[in-house]
Amino acid sequence: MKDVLRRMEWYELFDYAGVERHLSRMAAKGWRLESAGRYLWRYRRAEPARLTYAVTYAEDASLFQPEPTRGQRNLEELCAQCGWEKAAEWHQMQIFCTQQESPVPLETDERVRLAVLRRAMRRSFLPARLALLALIFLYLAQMAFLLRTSPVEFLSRNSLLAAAAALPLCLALALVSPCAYWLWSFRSGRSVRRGGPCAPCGPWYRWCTSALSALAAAFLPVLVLAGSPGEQAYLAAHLGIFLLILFLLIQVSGLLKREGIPRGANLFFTLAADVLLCCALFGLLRFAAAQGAFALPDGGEAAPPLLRAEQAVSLPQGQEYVQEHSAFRSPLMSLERGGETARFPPQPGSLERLWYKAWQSPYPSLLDWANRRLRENESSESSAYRPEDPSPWGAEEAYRFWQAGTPQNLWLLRRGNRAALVRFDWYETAGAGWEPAPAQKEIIGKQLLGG
Amino acid sequence: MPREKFQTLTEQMFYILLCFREERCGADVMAQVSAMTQGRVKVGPGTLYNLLEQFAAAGMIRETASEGRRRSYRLTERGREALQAEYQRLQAQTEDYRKFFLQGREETAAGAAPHQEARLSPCWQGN
Repeated sequence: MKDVLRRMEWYELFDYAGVERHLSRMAAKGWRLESAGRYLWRYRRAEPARLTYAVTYAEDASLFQPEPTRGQRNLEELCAQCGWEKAAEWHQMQIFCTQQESPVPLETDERVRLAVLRRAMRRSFLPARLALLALIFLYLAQMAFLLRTSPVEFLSRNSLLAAAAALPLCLALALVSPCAYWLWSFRSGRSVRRGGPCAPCGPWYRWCTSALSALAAAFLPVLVLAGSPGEQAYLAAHLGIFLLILFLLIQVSGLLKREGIPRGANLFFTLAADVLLCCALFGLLRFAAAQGAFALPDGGEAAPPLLRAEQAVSLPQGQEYVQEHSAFRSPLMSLERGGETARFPPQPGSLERLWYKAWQSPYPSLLDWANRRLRENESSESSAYRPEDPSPWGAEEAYRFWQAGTPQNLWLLRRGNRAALVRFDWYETAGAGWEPAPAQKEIIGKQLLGG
Repeated sequence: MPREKFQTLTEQMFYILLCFREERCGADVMAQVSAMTQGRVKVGPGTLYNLLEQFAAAGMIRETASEGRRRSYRLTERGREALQAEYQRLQAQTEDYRKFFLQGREETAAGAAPHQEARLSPCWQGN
Protein backbone atom coordinates (compact mmCIF):
# COMPACT_ATOMS: atom_id res chain seq x y z
CA MET A 1 0.00 0.00 0.00
CA LYS A 2 1.51 3.32 -1.01
CA ASP A 3 2.32 5.92 1.64
CA VAL A 4 2.35 8.97 -0.61
CA LEU A 5 -0.52 10.20 -2.73
CA ARG A 6 -0.24 12.90 -5.36
CA ARG A 7 -3.47 14.43 -6.58
CA MET A 8 -4.52 17.13 -8.98
CA GLU A 9 -6.48 19.66 -6.94
CA TRP A 10 -8.31 22.50 -8.63
CA TYR A 11 -8.70 24.76 -5.58
CA GLU A 12 -8.01 28.46 -5.96
CA LEU A 13 -6.30 30.70 -3.43
CA PHE A 14 -9.58 32.34 -2.36
CA ASP A 15 -11.51 29.10 -1.79
CA TYR A 16 -10.43 28.62 1.82
CA ALA A 17 -13.72 26.98 2.85
CA GLY A 18 -13.44 24.39 0.08
CA VAL A 19 -9.85 23.62 1.04
CA GLU A 20 -10.76 23.22 4.71
CA ARG A 21 -13.63 20.82 4.01
CA HIS A 22 -11.60 18.80 1.52
CA LEU A 23 -8.61 18.34 3.83
CA SER A 24 -10.85 17.29 6.73
CA ARG A 25 -12.44 14.66 4.46
CA MET A 26 -9.00 13.43 3.34
CA ALA A 27 -7.81 13.20 6.97
CA ALA A 28 -10.88 11.10 7.82
CA LYS A 29 -9.83 8.74 5.01
CA GLY A 30 -6.25 8.55 6.36
CA TRP A 31 -4.43 11.09 4.17
CA ARG A 32 -2.66 14.12 5.63
CA LEU A 33 -1.59 17.03 3.45
CA GLU A 34 2.19 17.29 3.21
CA SER A 35 2.68 19.97 0.54
CA ALA A 36 0.48 22.01 -1.79
CA GLY A 37 1.50 23.21 -5.24
CA ARG A 38 -0.42 25.06 -7.99
CA TYR A 39 -2.32 21.92 -9.07
CA LEU A 40 -0.44 18.98 -7.56
CA TRP A 41 -0.87 18.32 -3.84
CA ARG A 42 1.03 15.63 -1.93
CA TYR A 43 -0.54 13.62 0.89
CA ARG A 44 1.01 11.16 3.29
CA ARG A 45 -0.75 8.15 4.74
CA ALA A 46 -1.70 8.38 8.39
CA GLU A 47 -4.27 6.99 10.79
CA PRO A 48 -7.76 8.15 9.85
CA ALA A 49 -8.66 10.96 12.23
CA ARG A 50 -11.21 13.68 12.74
CA LEU A 51 -9.14 16.75 12.08
CA THR A 52 -10.31 20.30 11.66
CA TYR A 53 -8.42 22.26 9.05
CA ALA A 54 -8.36 26.04 8.84
CA VAL A 55 -6.81 28.48 6.42
CA THR A 56 -5.42 31.93 7.03
CA TYR A 57 -3.23 34.18 4.92
CA ALA A 58 0.23 35.61 5.58
CA GLU A 59 0.71 38.61 3.33
CA ASP A 60 4.50 38.49 3.38
CA ALA A 61 4.72 34.81 2.42
CA SER A 62 6.09 33.98 -1.04
CA LEU A 63 7.14 30.97 -3.14
CA PHE A 64 10.53 32.62 -3.50
CA GLN A 65 11.12 33.08 0.24
CA PRO A 66 14.07 30.91 1.41
CA GLU A 67 12.60 30.35 4.86
CA PRO A 68 9.52 31.40 6.80
CA THR A 69 9.40 35.15 7.37
CA ARG A 70 9.34 36.66 10.83
CA GLY A 71 5.65 37.30 10.34
CA GLN A 72 4.99 33.68 9.41
CA ARG A 73 6.86 32.47 12.48
CA ASN A 74 4.83 34.88 14.57
CA LEU A 75 1.63 33.51 13.05
CA GLU A 76 2.69 29.92 13.76
CA GLU A 77 3.44 30.86 17.36
CA LEU A 78 0.02 32.46 17.84
CA CYS A 79 -1.73 29.50 16.23
CA ALA A 80 0.23 26.99 18.31
CA GLN A 81 -1.01 28.79 21.43
CA CYS A 82 -4.54 27.89 20.39
CA GLY A 83 -3.71 24.31 19.50
CA TRP A 84 -3.32 24.77 15.74
CA GLU A 85 -0.44 22.98 14.00
CA LYS A 86 0.86 24.08 10.62
CA ALA A 87 0.17 21.52 7.86
CA ALA A 88 1.36 23.23 4.67
CA GLU A 89 1.44 26.51 2.80
CA TRP A 90 0.80 27.66 -0.75
CA HIS A 91 1.69 31.23 -1.69
CA GLN A 92 0.08 33.35 1.05
CA MET A 93 -2.29 30.56 2.09
CA GLN A 94 -1.25 29.03 5.44
CA ILE A 95 -2.98 25.75 6.26
CA PHE A 96 -3.34 24.63 9.89
CA CYS A 97 -5.01 21.69 11.55
CA THR A 98 -6.10 20.65 15.03
CA GLN A 99 -7.59 17.63 16.72
CA GLN A 100 -9.59 19.72 19.20
CA GLU A 101 -13.34 19.26 19.11
CA SER A 102 -14.23 22.98 19.39
CA PRO A 103 -11.10 24.91 18.55
CA VAL A 104 -10.84 28.70 18.61
CA PRO A 105 -11.34 29.66 14.93
CA LEU A 106 -8.29 31.06 13.17
CA GLU A 107 -10.33 33.89 11.71
CA THR A 108 -12.90 35.72 13.84
CA ASP A 109 -13.28 38.95 11.88
CA GLU A 110 -14.75 38.54 8.40
CA ARG A 111 -13.92 42.10 7.40
CA VAL A 112 -10.23 41.49 8.10
CA ARG A 113 -10.32 38.09 6.38
CA LEU A 114 -11.84 39.59 3.22
CA ALA A 115 -9.39 42.49 3.10
CA VAL A 116 -6.36 40.22 3.57
CA LEU A 117 -7.59 37.76 0.98
CA ARG A 118 -8.19 40.49 -1.58
CA ARG A 119 -4.65 41.78 -1.07
CA ALA A 120 -3.22 38.26 -1.41
CA MET A 121 -5.12 37.75 -4.66
CA ARG A 122 -3.94 41.08 -6.06
CA ARG A 123 -0.38 40.10 -5.28
CA SER A 124 -0.20 36.43 -6.33
CA PHE A 125 -3.09 35.52 -8.57
CA LEU A 126 -4.52 38.39 -10.55
CA PRO A 127 -1.33 39.73 -12.23
CA ALA A 128 -0.48 36.33 -13.73
CA ARG A 129 -4.08 35.66 -14.80
CA LEU A 130 -4.47 39.07 -16.39
CA ALA A 131 -1.18 38.59 -18.24
CA LEU A 132 -2.38 35.19 -19.50
CA LEU A 133 -5.71 36.67 -20.64
CA ALA A 134 -3.89 39.50 -22.40
CA LEU A 135 -1.68 36.95 -24.18
CA ILE A 136 -4.69 34.89 -25.29
CA PHE A 137 -6.51 38.00 -26.57
CA LEU A 138 -3.35 39.00 -28.43
CA TYR A 139 -3.18 35.59 -30.04
CA LEU A 140 -6.89 35.77 -30.95
CA ALA A 141 -6.35 39.18 -32.50
CA GLN A 142 -3.40 37.79 -34.45
CA MET A 143 -5.54 34.93 -35.77
CA ALA A 144 -8.32 37.31 -36.74
CA PHE A 145 -5.81 39.53 -38.52
CA LEU A 146 -4.31 36.57 -40.38
CA LEU A 147 -7.74 35.34 -41.43
CA ARG A 148 -8.64 38.79 -42.70
CA THR A 149 -5.39 39.52 -44.55
CA SER A 150 -4.48 36.02 -45.81
CA PRO A 151 -7.75 34.06 -45.82
CA VAL A 152 -6.59 31.40 -48.28
CA GLU A 153 -3.37 30.65 -46.37
CA PHE A 154 -5.31 30.54 -43.10
CA LEU A 155 -8.17 28.31 -44.24
CA SER A 156 -5.91 25.81 -45.98
CA ARG A 157 -3.71 25.03 -42.96
CA ASN A 158 -4.95 22.44 -40.49
CA SER A 159 -2.51 23.68 -37.88
CA LEU A 160 -3.93 27.23 -37.95
CA LEU A 161 -7.53 26.00 -37.96
CA ALA A 162 -6.82 23.73 -35.00
CA ALA A 163 -5.07 26.58 -33.15
CA ALA A 164 -8.03 28.87 -33.87
CA ALA A 165 -10.39 26.20 -32.49
CA ALA A 166 -8.21 25.74 -29.40
CA LEU A 167 -8.05 29.44 -28.53
CA PRO A 168 -11.67 29.82 -27.34
CA LEU A 169 -11.10 26.75 -25.17
CA CYS A 170 -7.95 28.36 -23.69
CA LEU A 171 -9.84 31.61 -23.17
CA ALA A 172 -12.69 29.84 -21.35
CA LEU A 173 -10.17 28.00 -19.16
CA ALA A 174 -8.36 31.22 -18.31
CA LEU A 175 -11.60 33.07 -17.51
CA VAL A 176 -13.16 30.55 -15.10
CA SER A 177 -11.03 31.36 -12.05
CA PRO A 178 -10.98 35.17 -12.34
CA CYS A 179 -14.76 35.16 -12.87
CA ALA A 180 -15.26 32.89 -9.86
CA TYR A 181 -13.06 35.16 -7.76
CA TRP A 182 -14.77 38.40 -8.81
CA LEU A 183 -18.19 36.91 -8.16
CA TRP A 184 -17.12 35.63 -4.76
CA SER A 185 -15.42 38.96 -3.88
CA PHE A 186 -18.51 40.96 -4.86
CA ARG A 187 -20.88 38.72 -2.88
CA SER A 188 -18.54 38.58 0.13
CA GLY A 189 -18.15 42.36 0.16
CA ARG A 190 -21.91 42.79 0.19
CA SER A 191 -22.33 40.21 2.96
CA VAL A 192 -19.53 41.61 5.13
CA ARG A 193 -20.89 45.17 4.79
CA ARG A 194 -24.14 43.86 6.27
CA GLY A 195 -22.24 42.27 9.14
CA GLY A 196 -22.31 38.73 7.80
CA PRO A 197 -19.59 36.26 6.83
CA CYS A 198 -17.77 35.98 3.51
CA ALA A 199 -19.90 34.31 0.84
CA PRO A 200 -19.55 30.60 0.14
CA CYS A 201 -17.59 29.82 -3.01
CA GLY A 202 -19.26 26.72 -4.41
CA PRO A 203 -17.55 23.94 -6.37
CA TRP A 204 -18.79 25.03 -9.82
CA TYR A 205 -15.54 26.69 -10.81
CA ARG A 206 -13.58 23.49 -10.01
CA TRP A 207 -15.91 21.40 -12.13
CA CYS A 208 -15.57 23.88 -15.01
CA THR A 209 -11.76 23.98 -14.72
CA SER A 210 -11.37 20.21 -14.59
CA ALA A 211 -13.83 19.64 -17.46
CA LEU A 212 -12.20 22.28 -19.67
CA SER A 213 -8.72 20.97 -18.81
CA ALA A 214 -9.78 17.44 -19.77
CA LEU A 215 -11.16 18.80 -23.04
CA ALA A 216 -7.93 20.70 -23.70
CA ALA A 217 -5.85 17.59 -22.97
CA ALA A 218 -8.00 15.56 -25.37
CA PHE A 219 -7.67 18.29 -28.00
CA LEU A 220 -3.88 18.48 -27.76
CA PRO A 221 -3.20 15.42 -29.96
CA VAL A 222 -5.62 16.83 -32.55
CA LEU A 223 -3.70 20.10 -32.51
CA VAL A 224 -0.37 18.33 -32.90
CA LEU A 225 -1.51 15.91 -35.60
CA ALA A 226 -3.47 18.54 -37.56
CA GLY A 227 -0.45 19.90 -39.35
CA SER A 228 1.87 18.46 -41.94
CA PRO A 229 4.70 16.21 -40.65
CA GLY A 230 6.99 19.24 -40.61
CA GLU A 231 4.47 21.28 -38.61
CA GLN A 232 3.90 18.39 -36.21
CA ALA A 233 7.62 18.19 -35.51
CA TYR A 234 7.78 21.97 -35.08
CA LEU A 235 4.87 22.02 -32.62
CA ALA A 236 6.26 19.03 -30.72
CA ALA A 237 9.61 20.85 -30.44
CA HIS A 238 7.74 23.95 -29.24
CA LEU A 239 5.95 22.02 -26.49
CA GLY A 240 9.14 20.21 -25.54
CA ILE A 241 11.02 23.49 -25.12
CA PHE A 242 8.17 24.94 -23.06
CA LEU A 243 8.21 21.97 -20.67
CA LEU A 244 12.01 22.05 -20.49
CA ILE A 245 12.02 25.75 -19.57
CA LEU A 246 9.32 25.15 -16.93
CA PHE A 247 11.39 22.32 -15.42
CA LEU A 248 14.61 24.37 -15.45
CA LEU A 249 12.94 27.38 -13.83
CA ILE A 250 11.55 25.24 -11.01
CA GLN A 251 15.07 23.88 -10.45
CA VAL A 252 16.64 27.36 -10.53
CA SER A 253 14.10 28.82 -8.11
CA GLY A 254 14.40 25.79 -5.80
CA LEU A 255 18.20 25.96 -5.83
CA LEU A 256 18.23 29.66 -4.99
CA LYS A 257 15.73 29.02 -2.19
CA ARG A 258 17.91 26.24 -0.70
CA GLU A 259 20.95 28.52 -0.88
CA GLY A 260 19.09 31.08 1.24
CA ILE A 261 18.95 33.74 -1.48
CA PRO A 262 16.49 36.50 -0.45
CA ARG A 263 13.07 36.61 -2.09
CA GLY A 264 13.72 39.66 -4.27
CA ALA A 265 16.97 38.30 -5.67
CA ASN A 266 15.43 34.86 -6.23
CA LEU A 267 12.54 36.41 -8.18
CA PHE A 268 14.91 38.55 -10.24
CA PHE A 269 17.26 35.72 -11.19
CA THR A 270 14.41 33.33 -11.94
CA LEU A 271 12.78 35.89 -14.25
CA ALA A 272 16.13 36.63 -15.89
CA ALA A 273 16.69 32.91 -16.44
CA ASP A 274 13.20 32.68 -17.94
CA VAL A 275 13.87 35.48 -20.43
CA LEU A 276 17.31 34.11 -21.39
CA LEU A 277 16.08 30.54 -21.86
CA CYS A 278 13.08 31.65 -23.94
CA CYS A 279 15.21 33.85 -26.20
CA ALA A 280 17.91 31.20 -26.61
CA LEU A 281 15.80 28.07 -27.09
CA PHE A 282 12.90 29.52 -29.07
CA GLY A 283 15.35 31.59 -31.09
CA LEU A 284 17.23 28.39 -31.95
CA LEU A 285 13.95 26.74 -32.93
CA ARG A 286 13.04 29.60 -35.27
CA PHE A 287 16.51 29.52 -36.80
CA ALA A 288 16.26 25.78 -37.38
CA ALA A 289 12.82 26.22 -38.98
CA ALA A 290 14.14 28.95 -41.27
CA GLN A 291 16.95 26.61 -42.35
CA GLY A 292 14.39 23.99 -43.33
CA ALA A 293 14.93 21.65 -40.39
CA PHE A 294 11.18 20.92 -40.30
CA ALA A 295 10.65 19.79 -43.92
CA LEU A 296 9.76 22.87 -45.99
CA PRO A 297 10.48 26.34 -44.51
CA ASP A 298 6.84 27.37 -44.90
CA GLY A 299 5.54 24.08 -43.47
CA GLY A 300 3.93 22.87 -46.69
CA GLU A 301 4.21 19.51 -48.39
CA ALA A 302 6.27 18.91 -51.53
CA ALA A 303 4.25 18.54 -54.73
CA PRO A 304 4.84 18.77 -58.51
CA PRO A 305 4.53 22.31 -59.91
CA LEU A 306 1.26 23.38 -61.48
CA LEU A 307 2.79 25.77 -64.01
CA ARG A 308 6.27 26.06 -65.53
CA ALA A 309 7.64 29.32 -66.84
CA GLU A 310 8.43 27.73 -70.22
CA GLN A 311 4.76 26.68 -70.55
CA ALA A 312 3.55 30.25 -70.07
CA VAL A 313 6.09 32.42 -71.92
CA SER A 314 9.03 32.02 -74.26
CA LEU A 315 12.32 32.03 -72.40
CA PRO A 316 15.76 33.13 -73.67
CA GLN A 317 18.35 30.41 -74.36
CA GLY A 318 20.54 29.52 -71.43
CA GLN A 319 18.41 31.20 -68.76
CA GLU A 320 18.03 28.81 -65.82
CA TYR A 321 15.25 28.86 -63.28
CA VAL A 322 14.93 27.61 -59.70
CA GLN A 323 11.62 25.96 -58.91
CA GLU A 324 9.60 25.98 -55.70
CA HIS A 325 6.23 24.48 -54.94
CA SER A 326 4.33 23.51 -51.83
CA ALA A 327 0.82 22.33 -51.00
CA PHE A 328 -1.48 22.73 -48.00
CA ARG A 329 -4.70 20.92 -47.29
CA SER A 330 -7.52 21.24 -44.77
CA PRO A 331 -11.20 20.18 -44.71
CA LEU A 332 -12.12 23.77 -45.68
CA MET A 333 -9.64 24.56 -48.42
CA SER A 334 -6.61 23.27 -50.30
CA LEU A 335 -3.83 25.50 -51.58
CA GLU A 336 -0.91 25.00 -53.93
CA ARG A 337 1.62 27.72 -54.48
CA GLY A 338 4.94 28.00 -56.19
CA GLY A 339 6.82 29.44 -59.07
CA GLU A 340 10.15 29.81 -60.77
CA THR A 341 12.87 32.37 -60.16
CA ALA A 342 15.63 33.10 -62.68
CA ARG A 343 19.14 32.35 -61.51
CA PHE A 344 21.20 35.52 -61.13
CA PRO A 345 21.93 37.39 -63.27
CA PRO A 346 18.72 37.30 -65.35
CA GLN A 347 19.20 38.02 -69.04
CA PRO A 348 17.88 41.36 -70.33
CA GLY A 349 14.27 41.08 -71.49
CA SER A 350 13.76 37.78 -69.68
CA LEU A 351 11.19 36.70 -67.13
CA GLU A 352 12.72 37.29 -63.70
CA ARG A 353 10.07 35.45 -61.71
CA LEU A 354 6.84 33.54 -62.20
CA TRP A 355 4.71 33.21 -59.10
CA TYR A 356 1.30 31.57 -58.65
CA LYS A 357 -1.08 30.13 -56.15
CA ALA A 358 -4.21 28.06 -56.75
CA TRP A 359 -6.85 27.13 -54.22
CA GLN A 360 -10.12 25.32 -54.08
CA SER A 361 -12.87 24.69 -51.56
CA PRO A 362 -15.89 22.36 -51.39
CA TYR A 363 -17.80 25.37 -50.00
CA PRO A 364 -18.60 27.92 -52.74
CA SER A 365 -19.57 30.65 -50.28
CA LEU A 366 -16.23 30.24 -48.49
CA LEU A 367 -14.40 30.53 -51.80
CA ASP A 368 -16.44 33.65 -52.69
CA TRP A 369 -15.63 35.22 -49.35
CA ALA A 370 -11.90 34.42 -49.59
CA ASN A 371 -11.69 35.85 -53.13
CA ARG A 372 -13.60 38.96 -52.13
CA ARG A 373 -11.28 39.52 -49.14
CA LEU A 374 -8.26 39.06 -51.37
CA ARG A 375 -9.52 41.75 -53.79
CA GLU A 376 -10.51 44.11 -50.98
CA ASN A 377 -7.14 43.75 -49.23
CA GLU A 378 -5.33 44.98 -52.32
CA SER A 379 -7.78 47.77 -53.06
CA SER A 380 -6.90 51.37 -52.34
CA GLU A 381 -7.45 54.78 -53.91
CA SER A 382 -4.84 54.06 -56.59
CA SER A 383 -5.03 50.27 -56.96
CA ALA A 384 -7.71 47.64 -57.48
CA TYR A 385 -8.58 44.44 -59.29
CA ARG A 386 -10.57 45.22 -62.43
CA PRO A 387 -12.65 42.59 -64.23
CA GLU A 388 -11.72 41.53 -67.76
CA ASP A 389 -12.89 38.98 -70.32
CA PRO A 390 -12.50 35.55 -68.71
CA SER A 391 -13.05 33.43 -71.82
CA PRO A 392 -9.43 33.45 -73.16
CA TRP A 393 -8.37 32.05 -69.76
CA GLY A 394 -11.03 29.32 -69.83
CA ALA A 395 -12.39 30.85 -66.63
CA GLU A 396 -15.71 32.10 -65.34
CA GLU A 397 -14.20 35.22 -63.74
CA ALA A 398 -10.96 37.06 -64.44
CA TYR A 399 -9.51 40.18 -62.84
CA ARG A 400 -6.35 42.12 -63.57
CA PHE A 401 -4.58 44.21 -60.95
CA TRP A 402 -4.22 47.91 -61.80
CA GLN A 403 -2.02 50.34 -59.93
CA ALA A 404 -1.84 54.10 -60.49
CA GLY A 405 -3.77 53.71 -63.75
CA THR A 406 -1.33 51.10 -65.13
CA PRO A 407 -2.18 47.41 -65.60
CA GLN A 408 0.14 45.11 -63.63
CA ASN A 409 1.14 41.60 -64.62
CA LEU A 410 -1.02 40.05 -61.90
CA TRP A 411 -4.27 38.20 -62.58
CA LEU A 412 -6.95 36.59 -60.43
CA LEU A 413 -8.94 33.79 -62.09
CA ARG A 414 -11.84 31.63 -61.03
CA ARG A 415 -13.73 28.67 -62.40
CA GLY A 416 -16.20 26.55 -60.41
CA ASN A 417 -14.82 25.81 -56.96
CA ARG A 418 -11.26 26.74 -57.91
CA ALA A 419 -9.40 30.04 -58.11
CA ALA A 420 -5.84 31.15 -58.84
CA LEU A 421 -3.48 34.11 -58.74
CA VAL A 422 -0.62 34.38 -61.21
CA ARG A 423 2.09 37.05 -61.44
CA PHE A 424 4.86 37.65 -63.96
CA ASP A 425 7.85 39.76 -62.88
CA TRP A 426 9.94 40.80 -65.85
CA TYR A 427 13.55 41.98 -65.75
CA GLU A 428 13.74 45.78 -65.66
CA THR A 429 11.08 47.29 -67.90
CA ALA A 430 10.60 44.31 -70.18
CA GLY A 431 7.17 43.66 -68.68
CA ALA A 432 5.77 47.14 -69.31
CA GLY A 433 2.74 46.89 -71.57
CA TRP A 434 3.09 43.11 -71.78
CA GLU A 435 -0.10 41.20 -72.53
CA PRO A 436 -0.15 37.39 -72.69
CA ALA A 437 -1.31 36.05 -76.05
CA PRO A 438 -4.63 34.14 -76.13
CA ALA A 439 -2.76 30.86 -76.48
CA GLN A 440 -0.64 31.70 -73.41
CA LYS A 441 -3.77 32.63 -71.43
CA GLU A 442 -5.38 29.33 -72.39
CA ILE A 443 -2.36 27.32 -71.16
CA ILE A 444 -2.06 29.30 -67.91
CA GLY A 445 -5.79 28.95 -67.18
CA LYS A 446 -5.76 25.23 -67.97
CA GLN A 447 -2.73 24.55 -65.74
CA LEU A 448 -3.93 26.58 -62.77
CA LEU A 449 -7.69 25.99 -62.88
CA GLY A 450 -7.58 22.40 -64.08
CA GLY A 451 -8.15 21.22 -67.62
CA MET B 1 -15.82 58.09 -1.65
CA PRO B 2 -14.18 54.90 -0.23
CA ARG B 3 -14.13 54.61 3.52
CA GLU B 4 -10.72 55.26 5.05
CA LYS B 5 -9.14 52.18 6.59
CA PHE B 6 -9.82 51.92 10.35
CA GLN B 7 -12.32 54.80 10.14
CA THR B 8 -14.68 52.51 12.07
CA LEU B 9 -13.32 49.64 14.13
CA THR B 10 -14.80 46.19 14.48
CA GLU B 11 -15.09 44.76 17.98
CA GLN B 12 -11.92 42.71 17.52
CA MET B 13 -9.98 45.77 16.34
CA PHE B 14 -11.30 47.87 19.23
CA TYR B 15 -10.40 45.39 21.97
CA ILE B 16 -7.00 44.56 20.48
CA LEU B 17 -6.06 48.25 20.50
CA LEU B 18 -7.45 48.58 24.00
CA CYS B 19 -5.13 45.79 25.17
CA PHE B 20 -2.10 47.84 24.07
CA ARG B 21 -2.91 50.82 26.27
CA GLU B 22 0.03 49.43 28.22
CA GLU B 23 2.93 47.42 26.87
CA ARG B 24 1.82 43.88 26.25
CA CYS B 25 2.94 40.82 24.39
CA GLY B 26 0.94 40.13 21.24
CA ALA B 27 0.54 36.48 22.20
CA ASP B 28 -1.33 37.48 25.40
CA VAL B 29 -3.94 39.55 23.58
CA MET B 30 -6.28 36.66 22.78
CA ALA B 31 -6.64 35.69 26.43
CA GLN B 32 -6.83 39.34 27.52
CA VAL B 33 -9.67 40.21 25.14
CA SER B 34 -11.66 37.15 26.20
CA ALA B 35 -11.15 38.13 29.87
CA MET B 36 -12.10 41.79 29.28
CA THR B 37 -15.37 40.81 27.56
CA GLN B 38 -16.20 37.77 29.75
CA GLY B 39 -15.79 35.54 26.73
CA ARG B 40 -18.17 37.57 24.54
CA VAL B 41 -15.49 38.59 22.05
CA LYS B 42 -13.00 36.05 20.78
CA VAL B 43 -9.98 36.90 18.66
CA GLY B 44 -8.59 34.12 16.51
CA PRO B 45 -4.82 33.84 15.99
CA GLY B 46 -5.13 34.46 12.24
CA THR B 47 -7.17 37.63 12.80
CA LEU B 48 -4.80 38.77 15.55
CA TYR B 49 -1.74 38.21 13.36
CA ASN B 50 -3.18 40.16 10.43
CA LEU B 51 -4.41 43.03 12.63
CA LEU B 52 -1.08 43.34 14.44
CA GLU B 53 0.65 43.64 11.04
CA GLN B 54 -1.90 46.18 9.82
CA PHE B 55 -1.89 48.27 13.01
CA ALA B 56 1.91 48.36 12.97
CA ALA B 57 1.95 49.36 9.28
CA ALA B 58 -0.66 52.08 10.00
CA GLY B 59 1.44 53.39 12.89
CA MET B 60 -1.25 52.72 15.48
CA ILE B 61 0.95 50.42 17.55
CA ARG B 62 4.69 50.11 17.78
CA GLU B 63 6.87 47.16 18.68
CA THR B 64 8.62 47.78 21.99
CA ALA B 65 10.40 44.48 22.65
CA SER B 66 11.16 41.19 20.95
CA GLU B 67 12.23 38.04 22.82
CA GLY B 68 12.56 35.19 20.37
CA ARG B 69 9.14 34.85 18.81
CA ARG B 70 7.35 36.91 21.49
CA ARG B 71 6.90 40.50 20.42
CA SER B 72 5.52 43.24 22.63
CA TYR B 73 3.62 46.28 21.45
CA ARG B 74 2.28 49.52 22.80
CA LEU B 75 -0.32 51.96 21.54
CA THR B 76 0.95 55.07 19.71
CA GLU B 77 -0.66 58.50 19.67
CA ARG B 78 -2.35 57.63 16.42
CA GLY B 79 -3.72 54.44 17.95
CA ARG B 80 -5.04 56.42 20.93
CA GLU B 81 -6.79 58.83 18.56
CA ALA B 82 -8.39 55.95 16.67
CA LEU B 83 -9.62 54.43 19.95
CA GLN B 84 -10.90 57.79 21.13
CA ALA B 85 -12.72 58.40 17.85
CA GLU B 86 -14.33 54.95 18.04
CA TYR B 87 -15.32 55.55 21.66
CA GLN B 88 -16.99 58.84 20.72
CA ARG B 89 -18.77 57.18 17.82
CA LEU B 90 -20.09 54.45 20.10
CA GLN B 91 -21.08 57.04 22.69
CA ALA B 92 -23.02 59.01 20.09
CA GLN B 93 -24.75 55.80 19.04
CA THR B 94 -25.77 54.87 22.56
CA GLU B 95 -26.94 58.44 23.19
CA ASP B 96 -29.08 58.35 20.06
CA TYR B 97 -30.50 55.01 21.16
CA ARG B 98 -31.28 56.38 24.60
CA LYS B 99 -32.87 59.55 23.22
CA PHE B 100 -34.95 58.14 20.39
CA PHE B 101 -35.75 54.65 21.53
CA LEU B 102 -35.69 54.40 25.30
CA GLN B 103 -36.97 57.93 26.04
CA GLY B 104 -39.61 57.64 23.34
CA ARG B 105 -40.92 54.44 24.91
CA GLU B 106 -40.98 56.07 28.35
CA GLU B 107 -42.99 59.02 27.02
CA THR B 108 -45.40 56.70 25.24
CA ALA B 109 -45.89 54.68 28.41
CA ALA B 110 -46.54 57.91 30.42
CA GLY B 111 -49.28 58.90 27.89
CA ALA B 112 -47.51 61.49 25.74
CA ALA B 113 -49.71 64.04 23.80
CA PRO B 114 -50.53 63.08 20.20
CA HIS B 115 -48.58 66.06 18.81
CA GLN B 116 -45.50 64.92 20.77
CA GLU B 117 -45.77 61.43 19.26
CA ALA B 118 -45.93 62.95 15.82
CA ARG B 119 -42.52 64.61 16.39
CA LEU B 120 -40.87 61.18 16.43
CA SER B 121 -39.93 59.73 13.09
CA PRO B 122 -42.31 56.96 11.95
CA CYS B 123 -39.82 54.18 12.42
CA TRP B 124 -39.40 55.01 16.13
CA GLN B 125 -43.13 54.98 16.91
CA GLY B 126 -44.75 51.98 18.53
CA ASN B 127 -42.46 48.99 19.09
